Amino acid sequence: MSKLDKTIHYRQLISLQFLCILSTGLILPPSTMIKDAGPGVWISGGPIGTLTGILVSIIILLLAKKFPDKDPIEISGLIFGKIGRFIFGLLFTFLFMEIAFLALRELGEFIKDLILPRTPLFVILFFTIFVSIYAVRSGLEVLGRMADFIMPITIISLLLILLYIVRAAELKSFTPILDKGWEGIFRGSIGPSLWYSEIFLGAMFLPAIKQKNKKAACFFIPLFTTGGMVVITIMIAMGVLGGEMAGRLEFPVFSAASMGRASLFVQMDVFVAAIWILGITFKISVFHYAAALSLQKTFQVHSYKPFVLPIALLLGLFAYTLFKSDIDLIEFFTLPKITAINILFFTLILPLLLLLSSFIRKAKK
Amino acid sequence: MFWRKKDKKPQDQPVFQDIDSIVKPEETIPADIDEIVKKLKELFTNCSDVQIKRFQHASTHQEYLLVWVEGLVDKQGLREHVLEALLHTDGNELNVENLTNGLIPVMDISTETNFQKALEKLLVGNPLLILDQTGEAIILGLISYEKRDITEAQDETTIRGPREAFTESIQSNTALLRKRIRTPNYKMEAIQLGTLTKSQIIISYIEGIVDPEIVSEVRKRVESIQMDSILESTYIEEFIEDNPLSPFPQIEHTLKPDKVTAAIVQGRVAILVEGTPTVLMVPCTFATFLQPADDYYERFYFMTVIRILRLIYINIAMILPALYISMTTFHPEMLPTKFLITLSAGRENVPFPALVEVLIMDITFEVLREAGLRLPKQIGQTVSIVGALVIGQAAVQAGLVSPVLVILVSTTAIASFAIPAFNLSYALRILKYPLMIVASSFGIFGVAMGLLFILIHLCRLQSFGIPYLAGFAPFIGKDAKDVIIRAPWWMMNRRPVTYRSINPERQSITKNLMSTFVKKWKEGE
Repeated sequence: MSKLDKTIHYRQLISLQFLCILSTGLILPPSTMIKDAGPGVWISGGPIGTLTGILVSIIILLLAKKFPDKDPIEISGLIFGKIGRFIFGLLFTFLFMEIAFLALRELGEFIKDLILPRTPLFVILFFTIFVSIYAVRSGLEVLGRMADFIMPITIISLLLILLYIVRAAELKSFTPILDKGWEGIFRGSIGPSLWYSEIFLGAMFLPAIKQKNKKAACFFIPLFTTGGMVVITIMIAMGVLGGEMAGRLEFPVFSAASMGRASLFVQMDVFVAAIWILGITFKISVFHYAAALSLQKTFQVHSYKPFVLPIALLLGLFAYTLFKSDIDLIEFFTLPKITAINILFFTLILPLLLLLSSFIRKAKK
Repeated sequence: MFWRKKDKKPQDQPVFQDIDSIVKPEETIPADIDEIVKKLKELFTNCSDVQIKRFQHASTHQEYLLVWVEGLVDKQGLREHVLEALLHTDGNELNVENLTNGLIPVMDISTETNFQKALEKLLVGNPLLILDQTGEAIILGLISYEKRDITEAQDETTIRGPREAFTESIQSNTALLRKRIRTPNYKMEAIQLGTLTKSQIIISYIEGIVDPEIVSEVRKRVESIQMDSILESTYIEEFIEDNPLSPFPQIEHTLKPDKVTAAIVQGRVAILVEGTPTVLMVPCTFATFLQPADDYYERFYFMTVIRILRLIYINIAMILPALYISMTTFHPEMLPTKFLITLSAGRENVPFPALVEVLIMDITFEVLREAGLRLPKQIGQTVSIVGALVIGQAAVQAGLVSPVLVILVSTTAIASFAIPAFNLSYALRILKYPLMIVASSFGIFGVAMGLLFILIHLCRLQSFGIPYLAGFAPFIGKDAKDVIIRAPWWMMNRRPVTYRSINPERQSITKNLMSTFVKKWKEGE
């Protein structure tokens, strides 16, 4: 009996979005932002960063209200016709692929730098993509169930770890908050806005949720919870390591966890690593799935499955060849111009364009 | 393709004479008794247990034939109720109608004209009585064969609660269940399977509680089996499970009628198989394997603690060796310095890498376990002494393994034996090895990836359309009281949502004294 529901519970979408945003938000900050924002980095990482996410969510929710049960690619097809759907579809596919291969490379660098220094990057990427293909081929329900399973594990263990290392934190790293001024804080929030704007992912899955009246919750709950988590992790990492140190290290949260040593039987840092590996691999699979799904919607074919393997190969290729080293990757993340144009163009400008043109069309009629 | 398979030669005809060549499927019983005897003798050549006896009535010289299988028949009943009745009747009354209408004092009596069907009945154990010139066989329901008494469930012992277990006889098994569920809604559908064994399979459920789609699916899957023999419920299990290649068990089995009753009452379906005491229960989830019967017979506080413990030790049974390998090989910094020094000192003389070390100990242990299982009890002790010495001491002293590893392997073993369902413990023990291998080449990254792979697999699995991880993922809040903890009985007002029961209410909430009491107590009265 294949009584497979092709739908997911809205709680599962919340967990899914939460994990996808958090897994980046957990490992990179505050290293990339600290130069701009100074000690007030938590303001740019939390409250201000989420603003972009809120903006994206509002646009998507407005679109969803106008076109219920349609994802952005189908909406673009309705507004601009076949060619519009084609262009938007390919752009969104590229967006999801870009997020996926950036995460993939991030994971690869992390493993290579901190856990398996002598293992070639290629092997790590291959292994991750292999797991991702298996997850993606299983479909959305399976991804939803996985989110249900991984989310509580992540939250509980993360909070336990943070509680454990919080005693090493010192408050003096947080003052003066506005050391670099508001301008610095806003500049520092460009990085976080990127991963908060990844909430756009939910637009692809909105037609699949069972509880149609809970659409807003699928966006705002994960935004605020991740915002909170990110503020906590940033503060603890800053407090434990001190501002200067946190800015220089590539993966400050991991390093902070390794500071809380000695008294417990097992060191915490490897557990942070394990949780984060789980989270980021999940994120890669979700965006891999989203990319395959948007290709399916673009070409309007029966199944997304034929696209899974080609996309996986491209992900591996991009992740492996586009950056020379981890310094390259960090630079890519910290250059505000590149990133702002890059991801925000897809997650903010394109949906906005869709929304505005839908208004214009209505006015014309 | 460029080549073509050669046409298969027609298979040689079997040398033995097929039953269909002697008695055609639609053939009726011949009227002449001599012909019947001839055919029966031909069919049952070299069957020393089939008895064919001709009798003649004293006055009318009416001939009749009695056929039975030795050992399957209540011989006393056959003599006292059948033969004597036939002897003492007036010869003119001797016809099929009179015999079936009370002349023979046997309750289960019927007639059959089809020869093959009559033979089938005979081989199940019913004696046949055939009168000359009638062409009809009277089937006497005088089956009686030796069977084991109902004993205690050896493999699933509970401290508190019912002890009796199913036996090999399907009649006593159905009786054990009917004894517990006294409603006409409790159905037991019989299906015959196995072209040679003709085993009876019974699908039982409560109408009005179970989701009818599940029942029809079970029926469809069971009926599609085309096997020559069904000797154990595993034959059925492997045919009907959703993902036949998964290492995880997808069908629960038990020896205890009380457990089956509990499952049926929750809206599940039980499958009884003739000739085996193990009964299958479908659909099932991962959580059902962690819910042994005594969880519900002891008080809930302790059982809740045990449930949470169980979640911890199923993980220990699966990933502890892999963690050891990854820690010693890749992340020694994960361990506290003092412990690391002790560990390294212990490992100093060990010539093998961690993976080989663990494999040696683990395989030795598995072999010992298997040997202990096969040997008779008296010799079994010898094996355990040898095992304890070899594993516990000699291996360490000889420098083959480190002392810490002994603790580790035994902890893993104990954890795997503490899992209530043996088939789940097998699955976890198999999965331990691939995890060890990825751990030895990728460290904690490999372990995390391996676990994620297993998680994806578990999320994919289904059992009769129900997600295998139901309760955990998708998380079902209403069922959490029986999945993660074991809530007291007065809180279990509804049947688990997981099994899609069409009648979810278990006990009326308003009439439930205990929960109203708790409500009042909370309100401060």
